[in-house]
Amino acid sequence: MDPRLDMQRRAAGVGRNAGGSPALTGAQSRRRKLPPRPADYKVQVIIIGSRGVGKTSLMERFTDDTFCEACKSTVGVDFKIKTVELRGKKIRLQIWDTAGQERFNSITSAYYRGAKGIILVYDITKQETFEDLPKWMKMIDKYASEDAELLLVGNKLDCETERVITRQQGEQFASRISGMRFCEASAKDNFNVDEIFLKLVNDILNKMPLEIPSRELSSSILSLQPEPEVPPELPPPRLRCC
Amino acid sequence: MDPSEQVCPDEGCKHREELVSEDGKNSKSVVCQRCGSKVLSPGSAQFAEKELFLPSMRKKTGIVGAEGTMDGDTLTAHWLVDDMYTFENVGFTKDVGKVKYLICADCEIGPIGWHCLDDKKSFYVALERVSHV
Repeated sequence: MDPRLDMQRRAAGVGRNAGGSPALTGAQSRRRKLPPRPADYKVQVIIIGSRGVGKTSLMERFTDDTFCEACKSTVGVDFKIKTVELRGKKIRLQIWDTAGQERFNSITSAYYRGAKGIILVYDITKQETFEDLPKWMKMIDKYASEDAELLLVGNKLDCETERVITRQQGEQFASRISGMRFCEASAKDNFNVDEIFLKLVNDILNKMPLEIPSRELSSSILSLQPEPEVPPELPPPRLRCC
Repeated sequence: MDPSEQVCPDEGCKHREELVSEDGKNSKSVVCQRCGSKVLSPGSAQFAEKELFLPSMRKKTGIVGAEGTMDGDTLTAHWLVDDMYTFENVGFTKDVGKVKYLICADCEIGPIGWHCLDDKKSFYVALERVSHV
């Protein structure tokens, strides 16, 4: 991990302390008497890739059977807001995981268009997920903004013995696409997972102007109303039950 | 129903005065009960009273029960936020009718909160579904 990246961990994980990410005590907040520092930037990120590559696990810290799976498995997760801190700036990510919509053309253009960061995931133990990558790239080329940062992730590093895609193959694929970065990760072992988001955000920050107009990120995205610029031939975004 | 009966049943923070500052905001960080993921920074949400039904967090089966009923609680004490980007970390479920439930962004337990699509400026987090540190 790049030591220049000032990573502040969110408080997470059973038994782990609230690391560097400040959870102010009552005393501290009373003393400070300052309003909370709002986010400096707001960024949309999408995670795409074929079925079963582990996209959703990248977003999830751990599962615990004693707690309710109901929300997640019967209703489904739509998107998440997550905060990372980098170079002294607080960045809010709005992360869309497109699990359940892995048919390439069923993920609507609305998802791609607003995304400043795109994480494209394949499974290092499944050849077909790597072979699917060009199809995903077609969607990205078609619908994503030209300045979206791209990150290719080879997931399931914990299954090294079943690996069929070499690291070199992944690196080669990424190197052929301008600006695309590459890394391998294991959501199961939580290896490199935070680094994925930090790497992506770091690249996004490098490109950002100093001010982001907040109207770019209106909460109309929440209801997935079709935006005015949707071309007539594309269907309006559909919400699908997973 | 006396709303103060529902305030934060755990960790010794039993009294609303400890949780709500003079200006009606959260004096402590709001975090996930299970994994500690930070949901809200101090001072970022307003205390609000609104009767909301939230399905149970601790059931293994689907949120719709055997006879089609939902197991859950009607909760009144909430933290209200008017902009989803105010949250430090939070997840949103897909729509259940016109409602999205809020869940922990890291471990995904929930619902910890509620949002109705008809009111784009209101996001509620139930005090009883979170911890305060």
